[in-house]
Amino acid sequence: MLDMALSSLAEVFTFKSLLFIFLGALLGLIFGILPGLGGPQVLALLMPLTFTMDSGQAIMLLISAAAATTFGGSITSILINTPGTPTNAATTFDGYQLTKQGRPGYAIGAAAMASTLGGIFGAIILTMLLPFGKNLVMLFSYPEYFMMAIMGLAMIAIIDKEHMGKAIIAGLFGLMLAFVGLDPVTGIERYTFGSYYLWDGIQLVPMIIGLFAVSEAVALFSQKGTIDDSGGNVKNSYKDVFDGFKSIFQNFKLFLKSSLIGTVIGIIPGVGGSVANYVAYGQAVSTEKNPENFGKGDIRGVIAPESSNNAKDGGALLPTLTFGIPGSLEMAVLLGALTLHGIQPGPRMLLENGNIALLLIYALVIGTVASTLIGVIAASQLTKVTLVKTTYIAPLILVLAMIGAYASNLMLADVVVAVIFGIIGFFMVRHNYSRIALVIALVLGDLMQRSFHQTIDSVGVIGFFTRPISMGLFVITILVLILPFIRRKRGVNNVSS
Amino acid sequence: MFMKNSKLLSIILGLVLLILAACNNNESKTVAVSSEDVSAFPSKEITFVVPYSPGGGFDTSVRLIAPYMEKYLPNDGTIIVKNAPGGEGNVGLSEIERAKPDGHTIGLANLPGHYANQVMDTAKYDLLNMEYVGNITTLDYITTLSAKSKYKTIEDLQNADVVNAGVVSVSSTDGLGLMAFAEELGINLNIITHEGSSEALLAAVRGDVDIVQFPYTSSVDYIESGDLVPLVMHSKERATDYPDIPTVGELGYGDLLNVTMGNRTIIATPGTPNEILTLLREAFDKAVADPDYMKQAEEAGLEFNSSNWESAEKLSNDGYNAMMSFKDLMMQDK
Amino acid sequence: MSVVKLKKEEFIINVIMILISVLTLWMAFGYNEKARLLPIFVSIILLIASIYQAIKNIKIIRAGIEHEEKVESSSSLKNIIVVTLLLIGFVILLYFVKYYLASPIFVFAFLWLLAKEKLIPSLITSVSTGVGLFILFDLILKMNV
Repeated sequence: MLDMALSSLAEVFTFKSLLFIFLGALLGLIFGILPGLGGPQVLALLMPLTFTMDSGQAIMLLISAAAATTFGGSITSILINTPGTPTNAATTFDGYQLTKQGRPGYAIGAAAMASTLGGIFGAIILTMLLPFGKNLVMLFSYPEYFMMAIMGLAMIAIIDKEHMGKAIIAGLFGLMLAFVGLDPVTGIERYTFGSYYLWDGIQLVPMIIGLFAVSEAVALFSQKGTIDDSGGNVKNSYKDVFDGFKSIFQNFKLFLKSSLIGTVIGIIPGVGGSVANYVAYGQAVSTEKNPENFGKGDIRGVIAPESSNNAKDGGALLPTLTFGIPGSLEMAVLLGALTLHGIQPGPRMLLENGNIALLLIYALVIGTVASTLIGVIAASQLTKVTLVKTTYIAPLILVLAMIGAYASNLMLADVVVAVIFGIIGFFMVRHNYSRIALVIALVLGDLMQRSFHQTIDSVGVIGFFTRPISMGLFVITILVLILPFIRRKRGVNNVSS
Repeated sequence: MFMKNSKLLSIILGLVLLILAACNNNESKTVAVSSEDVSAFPSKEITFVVPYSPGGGFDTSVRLIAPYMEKYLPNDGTIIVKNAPGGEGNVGLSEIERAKPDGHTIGLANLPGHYANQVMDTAKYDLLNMEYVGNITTLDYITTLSAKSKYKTIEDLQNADVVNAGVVSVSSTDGLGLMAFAEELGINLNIITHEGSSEALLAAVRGDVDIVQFPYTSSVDYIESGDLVPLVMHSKERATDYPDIPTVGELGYGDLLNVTMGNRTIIATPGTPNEILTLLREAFDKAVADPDYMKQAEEAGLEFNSSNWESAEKLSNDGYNAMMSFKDLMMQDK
Repeated sequence: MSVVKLKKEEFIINVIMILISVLTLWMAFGYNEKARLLPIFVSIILLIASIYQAIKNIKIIRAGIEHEEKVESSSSLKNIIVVTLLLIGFVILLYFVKYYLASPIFVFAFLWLLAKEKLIPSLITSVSTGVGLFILFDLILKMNV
């Protein structure tokens, strides 16, 4: 095993390999920054190009691109309050506030270090678990998937403490939206009103683009001036970024917790990586000191989601490599690429092509590092965006967003969805209904209803209560929900005594 | 301010008028094809429409063969692969059907799987009308039992009250195939749906479901590792690596093959001129015979059990008829 | 803007949500046993929650009480309506022309007509947007948008 590790390492550190990793990181970064485009798109684009390449290098190129998109997306979240990819949605809460306070570099620096270290964390866990991969993945069955979905949905109640009731309504609306389309169990059409497009339900990416990019552009435009509220005193970029780097170490426990969450969520097939960042944010809010600072530019609100969304990549490789089950959307495309190159993930692969797994892990780590390096350098220029007049920024965001919505599937219907949710998003912001709650519910709604029916149909209702892991998840969920209330009560007692 | 708003309004009105005018010209794409200059074909890049998302088995099959077909097309022809997932095939297949019938649009169909929509009257396309270029491969399916299942033989299954079955959906190839198989053999199924074939296979490995029916190539690793126990092969001949498994024909249900198999068939727009179809068909035939292609397909674990356009068309029609005979089974919950 | 006026607007939204949940509930009964289960459950909860929220708002409106809630500064309704119209126009344009033509037109319309920026900067921004997008998508990323 050790000599395999070393020989794979040698393969990675050749000039050509590093060049491909770098290229992948650059492309992934660009795709991550553009709203609406992300991991799946960059991989779909690169796949045909890798056809004639050596398989080792092709894979390094692809995985590095996939890893880079999450950091690219964080830049957009922080600078213009628009998630570049669905996995960066939670970063907008505090990241954007920091930008408005004139400290975008601080947020980007923190996101960069969190992403790098988070990616490394995920890769380390993956390496340790790979031999046990099969047994681990098999521990999770229908009830566990359901509890994971419930845990994620429970985050909705915490995500906006001031307007909890409204967030819940938003979440319920999101759940209803998740029911639109062909029913996963019986295959009948629900709420499709005769449209074939809606058979596949409301698409996540156009919806996020509408909810965030479009409504943000309108808000910016109404606001006049510039994004930056601090009067143009954008602090010296590099020092700020460096402070951002340091912040991870100042909050190391939080970083570890969030990365662990991300990795675990990545490992569980079917949950989908985009949930990781909300759950990490939610647990941070519920367990950290001074939770009232979240949402106002607290750097911890950037560290938590950004560590977890990179850690999830490492985790997601586990079911991908051991079972050929994509742990996330990008992994699905990666699987296709691997197959084309004669590598079939599954029980046999680790025995016959074990070095490929190691190559992937190394490339993942190096790609993440490369993307944060490039990203930080680029970001220092990109932050200038915050000084441009909003009336110019707004239409540009809109154009990029609309084209982003269109580019994935070349369906105008996606753009229409984006516009509709743009209007909805506008009113949601205006009246304080959490948009993130809507997104979480839509993302998890599918998993929840599917796993619910799967459990009921295979073992019956009792299935939820007889398995240790699912009960454990249930208990954690309850704890995470109650903890803030208990702490508040304790806090009140402390004050009065 | 009032002035600016009305300027805006007039521009928008103008656009609306533009649309109304252009609407008439934009709908019908089936323009009559005048004598296409065959020697210039292809005169631009050919679009290969795949009604699936990137990364799946179908997508991979297409991406594998496209460069080889390119090789054998005249005039340095190029093929680009376009993913058009959605609507259970409606989006992609209707795009192929409505394209200009000049040979520059071809696509992939899953037969008989994509007939499900037609049988249930929810299709925006008609595969019986399409032109056939060739069959990339016929996927042989295999019925397997979970090693953790208490059922071990067909008789066990027939005697059981109910058997948990893992499928992707009730209208997917594996789902329909398994349901048809069970119906013929008198097995009572409790259908549990999953997100994809990998998830369903995983469920069988875990023991959450008793029986699944997926392509041999997807199942063989689990059979080797002992997680799945093979029951019945849905192919004309027994599997070379597992010669003990009976084929469905030997059991007396050979007709099921038309419904339980999966064909990855290349189709072209209806009305494409015969001369151009011939060029496409020849390019296909040469591509699948190319030794490099076969080697790559084997390494990728993809079957290369190809057949030419005539047998593809026949397989297609047989598949449709076979599926129609199971119409009631498919329409249960609708 | 006054809190009461804002709450009136929200009340309308609450009523829309109530209507939607009634609609989804009613439609759910037309589905088969399994498919209707969760939609019915969620519709009912949504209905109750929306009614509760609506009542809360009615109370505020009736009493005209000044709440602590801050109001989004100057996101006027007029803006969203106009932007939406422009976006609709953009979508329609995309149907007929390529994205690197539709985008400059949209940006120009936005800047010159809506934002009332000066003509020359608007033109420059619009054209460079089109060019920039073309370079990005067609040349660098080689995507067929």
